[in-house]
Amino acid sequence: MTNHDRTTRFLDEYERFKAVQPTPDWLHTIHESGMSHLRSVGLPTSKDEQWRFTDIASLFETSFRLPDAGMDDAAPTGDMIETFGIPNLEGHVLLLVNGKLARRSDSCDNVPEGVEIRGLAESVAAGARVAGDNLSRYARFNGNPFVALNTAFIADGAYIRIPDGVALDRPIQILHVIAGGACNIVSYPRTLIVVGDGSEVTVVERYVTAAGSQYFTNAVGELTIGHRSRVNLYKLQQERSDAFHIGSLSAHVGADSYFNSHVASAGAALSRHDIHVTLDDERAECRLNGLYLGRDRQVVDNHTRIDHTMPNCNSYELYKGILDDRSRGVFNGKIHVHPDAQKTDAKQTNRALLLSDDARVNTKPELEIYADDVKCTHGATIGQLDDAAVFYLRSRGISREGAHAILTQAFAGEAIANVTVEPLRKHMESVVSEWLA
Amino acid sequence: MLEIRNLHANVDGKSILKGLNLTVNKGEVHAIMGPNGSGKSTFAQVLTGNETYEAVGGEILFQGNDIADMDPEDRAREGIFMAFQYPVEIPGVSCTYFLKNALNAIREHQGLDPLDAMDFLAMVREKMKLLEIDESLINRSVNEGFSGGEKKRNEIFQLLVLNPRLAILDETDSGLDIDALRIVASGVETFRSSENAVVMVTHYQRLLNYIEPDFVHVLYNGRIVKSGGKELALELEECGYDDIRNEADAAAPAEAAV
Ligand SMILES: Nc1ncnc2c1ncn2[C@@H]1O[C@H](COP(=O)(O)OP(=O)(O)OP(=O)(O)O)[C@@H](O)[C@H]1O
Ligand SMILES: [Mg+2]
Repeated sequence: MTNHDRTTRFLDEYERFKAVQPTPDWLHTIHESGMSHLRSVGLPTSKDEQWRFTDIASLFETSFRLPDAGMDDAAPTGDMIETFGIPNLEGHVLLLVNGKLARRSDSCDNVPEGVEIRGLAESVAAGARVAGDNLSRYARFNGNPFVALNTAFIADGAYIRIPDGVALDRPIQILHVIAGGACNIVSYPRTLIVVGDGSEVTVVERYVTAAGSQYFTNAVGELTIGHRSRVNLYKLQQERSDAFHIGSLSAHVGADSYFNSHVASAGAALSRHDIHVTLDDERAECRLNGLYLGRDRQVVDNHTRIDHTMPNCNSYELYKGILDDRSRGVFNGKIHVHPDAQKTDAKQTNRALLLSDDARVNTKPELEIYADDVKCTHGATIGQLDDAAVFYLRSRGISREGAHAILTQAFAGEAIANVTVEPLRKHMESVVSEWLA
Repeated sequence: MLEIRNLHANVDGKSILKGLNLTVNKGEVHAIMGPNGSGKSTFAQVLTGNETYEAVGGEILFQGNDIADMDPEDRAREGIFMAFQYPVEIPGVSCTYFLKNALNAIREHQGLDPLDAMDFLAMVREKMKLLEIDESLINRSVNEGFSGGEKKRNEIFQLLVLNPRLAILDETDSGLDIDALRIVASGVETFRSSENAVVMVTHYQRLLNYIEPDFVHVLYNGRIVKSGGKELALELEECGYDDIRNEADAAAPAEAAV
């Protein structure tokens, strides 16, 4: 199947989508920009360098359709927050079912002046200017046609705005729940987070399945951070084991600001997550943490790109993968240091643990450095459990399985240890231990 | 308690133990000495069930049962414990978590309920005090970044917590300063009872001043070539292994060439 054949079926959906979706002109222009990009480049095949190790052919074996209008109304949303929220994580909740806002917790309105925690569609309908000015401004199509695809279908999602000088003390959870019927649905949730100067916020995005048939999630997030702010963004990808998940995040970080990202992938048959961080101004810093778990024939792909555009910016990156059975991991980490970005400090580490002889990982660091006074390091290790450590544990009475579990959990632990939100860290630990069990 | 008959063991296809015999009874302390590379650690590892070391002949009877095919965890649960010559660092696994898992696995095997967190902590605290181990150590990852002496002390600490029947101490005295040696030795003395046994591998007479052995054996070229009382250690300290080497090589000239 060529790029264009792959794209055609999505184009047909687009006609259907445009026919029913009332859209302001500015958003129509955004949709068209995505679609015209798609028409010209098409969806990728493994001939595309960025998709070499992740064969998405299986995505095209099924026709995914936008959920019918009636379907999301039928979905029971009442206790979904209860069911799918992170246990004990107090905070504001946006519940999206099949990509559309289904509920907001009451606390979303009980926030400091100027803070907005809303559905994207309602913000668009209300004519929220900040949303309009920022939407599709940061998520570039370049090299990732799935961003264009999502953009062509922007209908709903989450919109978070934190004005200047607000430290939101409780985290915001965005629960992406799929509750489909017999039909294979595709959803295009869009998240836009706009953070002003001197502010602080923690956002958790969780992708889970309630019911339905095989589905495809194509998510895009955009984040812009002003000066002297701190933003933590957690993504937990726990889609059903036959699902497809292709997501991306574009983040722009302003002067003296700090962006901390955690991406944990445990679900989906095929998942891909791209992060593109631009350190826009001096002394900006980002920390990217990743944990990916694969088993059976799962494919899990993480692509990261960090652009150091200005002096004195730091980036630290630690991705860890655990792959069992015939699963496959991909890690590609690009660090681009622009000519002005002197005194850059960038460190990238990717470590993968292979629990079976048939598991594989492809890892590729890409450093492009155009400034001379910089410190950039990268390291990748791929290995098995340490036999000496396994024996040490067993020699104390711990079973072989127990020893494997303890060591695997410890391996994952490094990528979770710095999650400061306690209930979230506990949850992530339990995801790993349940995965191991 | 332990009876070893004509034990042969290989590493990487290379023969290391070549017909080792040893009997250890309840209440006894045995010291094993011998030149570097003679097979002392190999012996300890084979007893503990390390699969890298392949027992290819002979018998290892522990409390009357042949344990040659037993998994290391089952040997540990039956009461065999080895203090490693080179304890392994395990990043990301806290000492507490590790020890609690180990102790409860052993207790389960003995038909006992798992120790609850409070009792466990109280017990662990008491043993740490005995070995003058800083309490912060137990929250750190197993052996990670421990000094050489701390690692050895941690092994004896585990010995006291797990309280096995047979303790094999592989050069626990190496790398200890004088105070630490005294503390570790008193830890071993605390463990020692008429119901259990200790086999300690050492190069130095010094340890034996603190822990008086009932028997001293010389392991050379994969065999125990000489046994005696504690005075044998003194003799060795004075004269070295030359005489023993010559005697043993004369008795088995073919092996000596290997
Ligand atoms: N894992 C291994 N792989 C290869 N060779 C090994 C291994 N372990 C031990 N050997 C070899 O077996 C022989 C005996 O080693 P062992 O460690 O048992 O000696 P030792 O008596 O404990 O010596 P030392 O007094 O130096 O601790 C040596 O020649 C050693 O190189
Ligand atoms: Mg040794």
